[in-house]
Amino acid sequence: MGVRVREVGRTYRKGRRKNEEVVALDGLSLDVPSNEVHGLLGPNGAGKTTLCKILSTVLLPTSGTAEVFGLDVVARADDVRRQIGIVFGGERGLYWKLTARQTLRYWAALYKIPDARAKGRVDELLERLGLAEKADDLVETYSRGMKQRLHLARGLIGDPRLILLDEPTTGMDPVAAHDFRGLIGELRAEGRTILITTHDMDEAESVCDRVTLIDKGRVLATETPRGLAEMSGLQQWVEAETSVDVDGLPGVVGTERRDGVLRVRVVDAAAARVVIDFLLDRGVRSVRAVPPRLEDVYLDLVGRRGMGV
Amino acid sequence: MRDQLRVLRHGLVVQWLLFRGFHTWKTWTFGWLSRLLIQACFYALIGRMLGSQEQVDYLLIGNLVAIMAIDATVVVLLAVGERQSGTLALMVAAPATHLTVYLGKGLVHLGSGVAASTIAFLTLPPLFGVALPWPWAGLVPLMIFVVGVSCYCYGTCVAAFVLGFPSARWVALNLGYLVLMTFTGVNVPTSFWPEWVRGAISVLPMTHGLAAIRSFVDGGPVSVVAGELALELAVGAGWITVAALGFGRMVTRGRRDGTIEFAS
Repeated sequence: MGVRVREVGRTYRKGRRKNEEVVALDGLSLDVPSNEVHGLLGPNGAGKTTLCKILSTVLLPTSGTAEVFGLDVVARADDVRRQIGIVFGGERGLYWKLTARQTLRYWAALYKIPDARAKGRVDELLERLGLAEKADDLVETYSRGMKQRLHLARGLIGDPRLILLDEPTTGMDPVAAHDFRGLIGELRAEGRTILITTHDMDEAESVCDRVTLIDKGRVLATETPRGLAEMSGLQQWVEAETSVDVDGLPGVVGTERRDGVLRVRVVDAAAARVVIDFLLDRGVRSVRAVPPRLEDVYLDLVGRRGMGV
Repeated sequence: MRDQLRVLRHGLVVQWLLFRGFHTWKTWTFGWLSRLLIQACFYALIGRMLGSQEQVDYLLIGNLVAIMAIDATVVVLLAVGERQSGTLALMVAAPATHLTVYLGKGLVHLGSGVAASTIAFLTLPPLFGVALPWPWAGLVPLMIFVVGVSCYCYGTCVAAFVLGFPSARWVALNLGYLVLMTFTGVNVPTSFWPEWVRGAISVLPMTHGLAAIRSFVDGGPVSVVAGELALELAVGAGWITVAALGFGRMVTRGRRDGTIEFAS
């Protein structure tokens, strides 16, 4: 098992006199098998980052146990640290006055990699992450996407078995985010276990083997993205490129427009059939029934809190 | 041990690169060094105002060595710098010992202090008519280095405290440095203080090293000079031991309190 979390709780004390207790994790349990890409989804404050911090040994749980490849994160923190790589999104966590090569050589030393091996490892990562050409430029001159690739290279420097990605595509443009997802697939193919927190449902749907929905420090559900959608019992959707009004049809729960596409929410497959036939009869040629998306499931289970990120 | 030395070396290299990103030789010379030299001159001029060459000698030598302490205690800010750049969590989660990383990074400031103090030692005494026993005075920079190591260990200890209380960084830096300026014999002889205060002063860095330098410049016995330098190193060893314990304690406290943040 890559990650095993059992009844983990974490509370913080807040307020001027530290007399206000805030529950970040409330008896959370989770299993992530080795070589799985596992998504943690939830609104802001759900406990995703707190869990990542516990697994990466920078935070102690107040109750319960957490293990990484069978190593307890509290009792065997030093051993756990050799197994993990941490990558977070955004601009921080880098020294802007260093180059990518200098950054990686430094972190290689902190991961106790001998210089001779570190040099090869750094060159390999620079090449792989597409940073070789700019390897000797200062980080402050990098684009957001390049900084994120450097974050990932730094996270991989110790050749970790578990990679913790905390909102890694925050602020990335769509092309960079797409490339980043491709890299995650490669890392999985190498046998690594990946735990990724994200607000991006499309990202979770495209890269994760399974996802866990978290809210208020508890697990709401763990499933494959498709399985989660199917078990949710949510209505189906019909999508069509049209401006035809379908609101009055039987079985239609609601409609919305997104990027010029009409999305019709219907109660079941029979109602979807009615809507499709109705649209085809009116000459609409681009129409299809689609199962509920992960985002729909998320909104249904969690509500619209925390989506404004 | 080899791992620790590698971390120390890479910490030094990285901090040197960051230091170069912050300072050019011009800004270091005309900004930082000038500020330190002017401070030493200020106190020497007070000695001149008092109309005593003996006072000038005392104040200038004390403040030349104190320059070392200023630079060595700047390491206090490194602890907060890691928090601000979002690298503290990454450092804590890395297999290397945090204290070793800090020690390596702080060596740049130790070097800066030795350079500034030595330049001051070579340039200011002739301006104020302070006679030095050349060529033996050439050994003084080595003694300044010993003082620097001791102050650096003290600064690292204060940095451990600041790691847990980052908002207190400037207070800690100024207080840490001013305690040395006030009590260790820079401007006021240690004999001025009551007996019980002198007991506490004897465990502060610079007290014994400065006494050794004063004794050496005055032509005192080698045994006294060597003894004071040995005591200075022992004081440094004590402070670094406390720093090691302090760093471990503050990181544990941060893990418990949840104050070691991921960047986002």
